[in-house]
Amino acid sequence: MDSTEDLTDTVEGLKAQREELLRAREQIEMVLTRIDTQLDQLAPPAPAEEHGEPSSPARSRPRPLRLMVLDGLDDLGWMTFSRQMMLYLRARYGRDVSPTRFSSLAKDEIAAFTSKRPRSVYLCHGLVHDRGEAVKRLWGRSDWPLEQRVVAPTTGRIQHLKLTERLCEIARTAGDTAADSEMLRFLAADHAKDLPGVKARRGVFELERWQDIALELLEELEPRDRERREEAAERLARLPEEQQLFGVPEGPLFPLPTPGRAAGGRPS
Amino acid sequence: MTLSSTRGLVRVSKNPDCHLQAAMALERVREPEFYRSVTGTEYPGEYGERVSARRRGAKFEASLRQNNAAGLRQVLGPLFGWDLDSMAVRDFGEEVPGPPTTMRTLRLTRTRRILGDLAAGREVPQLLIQPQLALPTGSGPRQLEFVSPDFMVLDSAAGIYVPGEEKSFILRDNVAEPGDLDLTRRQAGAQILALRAESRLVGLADRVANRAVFVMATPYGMKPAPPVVEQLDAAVYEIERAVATIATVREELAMLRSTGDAPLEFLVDEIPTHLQEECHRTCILAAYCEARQADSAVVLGDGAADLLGADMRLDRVRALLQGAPPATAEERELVARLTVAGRALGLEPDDLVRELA
Repeated sequence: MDSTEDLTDTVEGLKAQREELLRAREQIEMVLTRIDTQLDQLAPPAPAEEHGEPSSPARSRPRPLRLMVLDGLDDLGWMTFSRQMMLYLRARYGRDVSPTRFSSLAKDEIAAFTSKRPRSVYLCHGLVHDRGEAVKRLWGRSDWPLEQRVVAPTTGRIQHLKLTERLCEIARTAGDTAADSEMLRFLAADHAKDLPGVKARRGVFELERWQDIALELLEELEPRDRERREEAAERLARLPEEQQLFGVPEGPLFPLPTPGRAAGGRPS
Repeated sequence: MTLSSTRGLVRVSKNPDCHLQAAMALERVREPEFYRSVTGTEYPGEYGERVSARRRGAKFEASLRQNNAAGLRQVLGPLFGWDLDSMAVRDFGEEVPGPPTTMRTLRLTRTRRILGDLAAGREVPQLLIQPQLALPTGSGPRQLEFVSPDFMVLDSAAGIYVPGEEKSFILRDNVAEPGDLDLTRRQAGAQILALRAESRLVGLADRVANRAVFVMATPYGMKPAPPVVEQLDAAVYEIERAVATIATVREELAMLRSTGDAPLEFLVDEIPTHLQEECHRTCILAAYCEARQADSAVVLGDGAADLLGADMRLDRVRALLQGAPPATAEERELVARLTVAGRALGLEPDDLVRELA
């Protein structure tokens, strides 16, 4: 019996030690990420190489995707769709992310939240204003206030304007340190093309003008949207914390017919 | 690719007399796998949509949906009585991604809640992208087909959503290829019926008209042409027939399996088929069916099947042309018509026999 108890204690001890190490690793990674970003911003632009390669900042190690996404959200300052994030990470940091990675990222975050390994910040989803359902491809940070993670009927337009404004700003100011500054400008233009009065012209990037238009519209439209998000956030704040981050659970209405005879062909 | 959902309904609607195809749709078979289990060989031809066409379609849809569906709002807002800048959009593609097995019921739940809100007079979004509907094909809870319109737009005048399809085929002077349009109309027919079934659950079925909206491309890149709203009585009727066929075939299969739980591939010879020219463009089993009916008039095409009767044996036709006495009035008339037709083409009965050999 004693030896069994000893063994159990040892296993528990190892588990606790592992969790502690994982927490420490995460904190170190976050610090390293910040340092890398700051170094990127302080470094003089590297001369273009003879073979025409872009002057991207050198990377000492691949950063975990969740930290990249957290950084991206920090840069963009607003909820961002997976597709937008994928393009941003490629343009700004030269990081190629497969779309399928976002799905496992979501699962990992939920698993981490429900496990005994608390994180200082989580990636989370936008929440539909009335029922708190998750918008699973819309990402936010758990350290943002709840009202910033709510999707009201008017928020779709605000999200587009916010992203347009930030992308124009980043393309203007951080263009030289971006992994692919041209792609960053195209990304800004791709968002700006649907602003009123903007006509896309090949090779013309009126970043400042686009940013001004977006800001002007935000000034007009954001107060009403914020009001609605705050109203909704007040209600959604009563949900358990997990649901505030990852959405209310939704049970299926009925079993699904699936390929194959067993589900579809037999009379019920 | 499985033969299920709208794809299955559309296929059945094109040939509702082929119960084998309806059985394939009902059992959601994967066509190439089913071909292999029936014939014992791999399907020798090309299968599925061209990759380039699929890519163009995906690109067109993405261009309409990006930036809070600016492209869709721009063309649909004025048509349905909305200020395009204040249209609220719910994009279920972004809200609930994932494989169909889990995604469909979740999207259906959300779509149903919105229809419930509409019936209750609560605020609803004007544009739903990739909503999910279910079309019952029988009385059982699992007897349904999932139907997924590309979008649904709220008609401010009618107080109900109108299903819509985004199609990347090119519209020239407001005209698309008839073949492309036929498929699209049938898809929309299924969507109308499914929307009506869903609306019935919340008491709004009478608001659903037989109409849908199509957003197609212009010849200039990915730019959408002005949308087309179509009245689709014929397509809705065709899909209703397909639903009825599926219900009938479900009962036939239950009968066939009453003594044993045989897989569909073992029942193929006992299920009625209806070969027609269209089968060669749509069904993976067309050549197999043709081989089974070799030496019958149907293998000569739809016109010959109409003239001679689909089950008429060609050896009997040859015998009649060579002077065998007709056994019925129909055979006598057939010989007379073939002789006249042959002479119009400069062919004597013996020549016709050689042509039919």
